[in-house]
Amino acid sequence: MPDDTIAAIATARGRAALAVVRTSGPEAIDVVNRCFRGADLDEAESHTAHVGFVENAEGDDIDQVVATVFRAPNSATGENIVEVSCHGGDLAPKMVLQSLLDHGARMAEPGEFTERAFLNGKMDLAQAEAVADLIHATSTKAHEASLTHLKGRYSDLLEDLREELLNLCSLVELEIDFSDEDVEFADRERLENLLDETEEILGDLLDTYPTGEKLKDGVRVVIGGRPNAGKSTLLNALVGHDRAIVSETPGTTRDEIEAEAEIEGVLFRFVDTAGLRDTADEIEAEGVRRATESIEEADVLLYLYDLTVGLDSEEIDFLDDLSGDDSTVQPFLLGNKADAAPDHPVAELDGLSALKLSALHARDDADELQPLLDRLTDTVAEHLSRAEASPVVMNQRHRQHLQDALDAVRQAREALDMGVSGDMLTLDLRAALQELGAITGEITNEDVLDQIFSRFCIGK
Amino acid sequence: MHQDYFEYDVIVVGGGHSGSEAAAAAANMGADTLLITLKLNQIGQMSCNPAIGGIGKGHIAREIDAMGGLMGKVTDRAGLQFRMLNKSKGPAVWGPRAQCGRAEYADCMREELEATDNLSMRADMVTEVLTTDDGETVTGVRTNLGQTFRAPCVVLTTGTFSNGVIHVGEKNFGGGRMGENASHGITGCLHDLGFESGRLKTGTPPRVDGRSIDYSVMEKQPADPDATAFSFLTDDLPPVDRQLCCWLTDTTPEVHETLREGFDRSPMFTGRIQAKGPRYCPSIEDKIDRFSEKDAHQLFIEPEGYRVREVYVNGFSTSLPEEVQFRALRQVPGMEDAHMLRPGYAIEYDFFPPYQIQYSLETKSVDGLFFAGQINGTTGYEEAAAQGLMAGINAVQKLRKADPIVLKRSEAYIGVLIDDLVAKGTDEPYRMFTSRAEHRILLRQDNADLRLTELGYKLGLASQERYERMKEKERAIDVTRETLADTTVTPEQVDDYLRSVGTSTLNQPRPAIELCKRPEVDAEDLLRHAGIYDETVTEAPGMLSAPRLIEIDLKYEGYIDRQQDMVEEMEEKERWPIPDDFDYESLENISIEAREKLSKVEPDNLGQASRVPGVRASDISVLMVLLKNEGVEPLPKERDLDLDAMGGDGQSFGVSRETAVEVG
Ligand SMILES: Cc1cc2nc3c(=O)[nH]c(=O)nc-3n(C[C@H](O)[C@H](O)[C@H](O)COP(=O)(O)OP(=O)(O)OC[C@H]3O[C@@H](n4cnc5c(N)ncnc54)[C@H](O)[C@@H]3O)c2cc1C
Ligand SMILES: Nc1nc2c(ncn2[C@@H]2O[C@H](COP(=O)(O)OP(=O)(O)OP(=O)(O)O)[C@@H](O)[C@H]2O)c(=O)[nH]1
Ligand SMILES: [Mg+2]
Repeated sequence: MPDDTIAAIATARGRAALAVVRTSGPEAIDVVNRCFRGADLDEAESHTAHVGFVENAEGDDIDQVVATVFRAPNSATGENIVEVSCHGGDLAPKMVLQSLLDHGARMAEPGEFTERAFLNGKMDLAQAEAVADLIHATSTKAHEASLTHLKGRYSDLLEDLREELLNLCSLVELEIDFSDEDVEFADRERLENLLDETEEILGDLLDTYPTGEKLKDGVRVVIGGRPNAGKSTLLNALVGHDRAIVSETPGTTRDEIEAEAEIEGVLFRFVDTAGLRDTADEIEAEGVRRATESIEEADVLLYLYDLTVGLDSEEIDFLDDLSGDDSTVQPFLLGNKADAAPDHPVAELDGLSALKLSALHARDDADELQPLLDRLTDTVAEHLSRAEASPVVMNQRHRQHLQDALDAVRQAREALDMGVSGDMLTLDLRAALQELGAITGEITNEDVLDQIFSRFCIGK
Repeated sequence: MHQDYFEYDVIVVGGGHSGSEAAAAAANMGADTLLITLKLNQIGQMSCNPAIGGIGKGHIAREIDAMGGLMGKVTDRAGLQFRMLNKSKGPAVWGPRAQCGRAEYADCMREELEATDNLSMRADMVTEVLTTDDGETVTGVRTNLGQTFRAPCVVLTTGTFSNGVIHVGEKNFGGGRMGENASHGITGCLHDLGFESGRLKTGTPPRVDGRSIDYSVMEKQPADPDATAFSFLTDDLPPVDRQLCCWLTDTTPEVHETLREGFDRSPMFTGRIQAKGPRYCPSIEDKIDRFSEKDAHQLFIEPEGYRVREVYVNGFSTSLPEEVQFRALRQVPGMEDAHMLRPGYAIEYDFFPPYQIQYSLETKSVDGLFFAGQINGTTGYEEAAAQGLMAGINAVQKLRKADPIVLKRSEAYIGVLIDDLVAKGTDEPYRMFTSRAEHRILLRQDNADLRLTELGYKLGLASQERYERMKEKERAIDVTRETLADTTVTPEQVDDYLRSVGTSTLNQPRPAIELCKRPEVDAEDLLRHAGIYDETVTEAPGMLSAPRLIEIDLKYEGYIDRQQDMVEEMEEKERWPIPDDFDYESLENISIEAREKLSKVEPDNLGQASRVPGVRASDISVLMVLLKNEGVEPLPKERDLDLDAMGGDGQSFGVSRETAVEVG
């Protein structure tokens, strides 16, 4: 058990009516009691709230507060916890925290409350990781997805999956270890069906990873095009401030410029790039090389061209390649400088969604930008509805284990088709179980036999 | 012979399955050994089912034999009926099983022990374990007859006898087995030394006079022509037609109804028995209570010997009042006139939760004191015998001042058994299943000798003869394999055969070894059919032909390789030793539960730690980092078995006195 007591402000900084300062540890109640004027918290029962004043080290009142007492082990961390609700704003919470620190608490490290909860068995690994994701969540939707994990829906799903696999394993083991028993053994078809089901659930879960990844890390939108097409102007419009230098000299942007914006709760990472052209300038050429690389790694490409200039054949070929089936980038064609070319229609290319706009006006006119924003949110609409419907895999480590579990299940399925005997089959099934265990932190051992004994009449 | 009537190297208390192996192993390894047991004519007595082996258990029996233990040889000599279970499953899970003559088994075991050099026996009850004044080192035992026997190593194997209480319906009385007294004194003495004990329970069915049974309504279960012997030293089994059969019948709803009438007087249901029994050997009352939807349960009528008509009603274990047992039994088809020779009963006994022992089976708190068998919380003859064997070996290793022998999970079922006991503990009688062995594909019953005989030999336990047979087998396998790789067969030679087993024919000559890999192909049949059996096969000693031995490895090559990889991965962790007095309590970064459990179990290495229940993967990662930070070095991969270093104290250790087997 950690023997020190930690404290931290638990609510977000900024203007709010109330803030919460949390203390956890064996001495949490004593620490608060030392600077709390009101009821004697030592006597307080768990889950009770008490009005009083918090004093500073000099004995002066800081703020009127409500102190809520949670006693170990029935608290979020499993230790004694006191939550002090004080007035919001910048000052009061800080002074309350300082007083707690002066009275024996230690400032908590980031994530330390979670760590204690995990160590005390209040959370499984998946949940603890969800808290970490939550702390680092950058967008509203990512936050929601983390919350789903925290509430355990994701853990529940994994648990169901594990049950399913255990069930399968126990059916196979039953046949091996209890072949001389008078019980009914599962036929191959039943095993096949169960395996197919498991494979499907695993596959579906894995398919959510691109969603999870996008929610967590943001959608990567690269802005590309010829020099002077207005790329930097568009970036500035999208993020709402002058992030990139705009000038009428072609070849202004060299280094990539990244800026983030949250659109409809989703994080987008915009990348402005150097204009694409052959150039003798060494530095610009390097910029062009990087721009090309960036485009390949993008989720979405906004390809800008100047309507007054038009698209050249090289650009058309380039876009053609990108809209092919095996491309991982989703391209949009944007005809820019609509203000200067009201009569030029935007070029129509096969399978390419196109839009006409004025980046210049979009900076100050929300309506000008809206159609583009809509297209952008459309690209993740599918992901969003999925995230609302079911838990998504957000963590790279989980994805790897789930993938390995899926591979093992597929191997088992193949082995079953080939008529491989049960003792070999379970090799794969157990491997899959182990992968799932690695996510929730459980190590499987007795579970298979437990299942068998609880479900079948075994033994002479 | 020993120097002094009262002085020995090793004293083994209890002559059950565990004690017999412990005593024989210690004596064969050269230690002056005394076996003290209640009754000499009950040595190696089968308390319950007169059968050895089965799935998982058969593997253990083969391993005991491979190391140079007695169980296999005795089973081969006392067997009435031999079978190979699970033949339709993968070869890794085939399980040899033998129905044995109860009296024959005990007689043969005693004969084996009496033929063992360095081994003395005494009929007496041990009432006290003697230690130095500080209670930290064992010095010997005191018996009921008031004698004191001294030894630096004492192996306790008192089975179901310690404070045993027998229940039949509402009656109960002290006893270690029906008709035998319980033993008293040792538990109290161990409590004084700081040990914790618990209670477990088990039960047994009634015995019936075979002459009163109508077999004509039962299904016959004959011996199995494919069966192999238990001992790697045995070449032949009695002909199938000279072996006995078992018989199958079923209970009926009426039987269940009658049994239910006794439920209110069942010690299990009235709460008179509190101790936990084995879930896989439930009583018949338990079965009909928990699975009330089943209206029939299978019963096996098993012979007890060539010379006696007594039979064992396997599947009818019960502690209901005798009168209820009797009435229900007589409703079983074929048992209408059954004459019950003895009722079924349940027995409660003391055990010592196995977190108190080390992997060597030596107790953690008393130096030189070993626990083996049922008192460690197991059930079953094979499980008991395996522990006895290891305790005997490790007692001698201790005398030699050599490292204890700890078999790995990837090396033997015995390793799985002991690791499970020590790392996971048990709160119900523990029995082996193949599903407990995660590396079972490597742990086949047919290769136990290849896995373990060399070790047994180097320890001075397995005999020269045994070692040479193993080597010969190894060579036969290699040579045959090579020959088959070099031999091509033509379509003319084998197409008929291939067609007959339903696999595709050849369009050009192919190496014979490739055909042997096909799942449908039986290597032996193929070679005979092609007329090249004699020229390609170098026969191996033992009951399996060389082609059979290699085809298993061939057919499962892919899986065997994968399993090997898994073993290597796992063994990475096994190689990280955890220092003896490691302070888990001070570790801030692992879960509280893990800290508590690990402090209790005191694992020797990270691998063992990872199997302690309640320990999570993240805890192990933290531990690994800590060990690295503390400068702990991983151990070498191979076990260090330097024989010269072993005979440290100048005794004549190292020469096996294992006796040869004679089977009729
Ligand atoms: C009623 C009953 C039912 C069982 N049912 C099953 C079952 O269904 N399935 C199964 O697998 N196993 C069953 N068993 C268990 C099986 O018999 C044991 O697991 C096995 O025999 C244990 O071997 P052991 O050597 O540890 O002890 P035991 O075989 O019990 O041998 C103990 C020996 O120690 C001697 N002894 C005890 N105390 C002293 C002392 N103080 N001094 C000297 N000698 C002493 C005894 O005389 C005896 O020879 C049952 C046992 C009993 C009694
Ligand atoms: N009229 C008009 N001018 C625009 C529009 N967008 C950009 N411009 C002008 O075009 C010029 C180039 O704009 P930038 O945004 O710097 O273009 P760029 O694509 O980033 O150019 P490089 O960084 O050189 O590749 C500037 O003078 C902009 O003011 C638009 O929508 N309408
Ligand atoms: Mg620019």
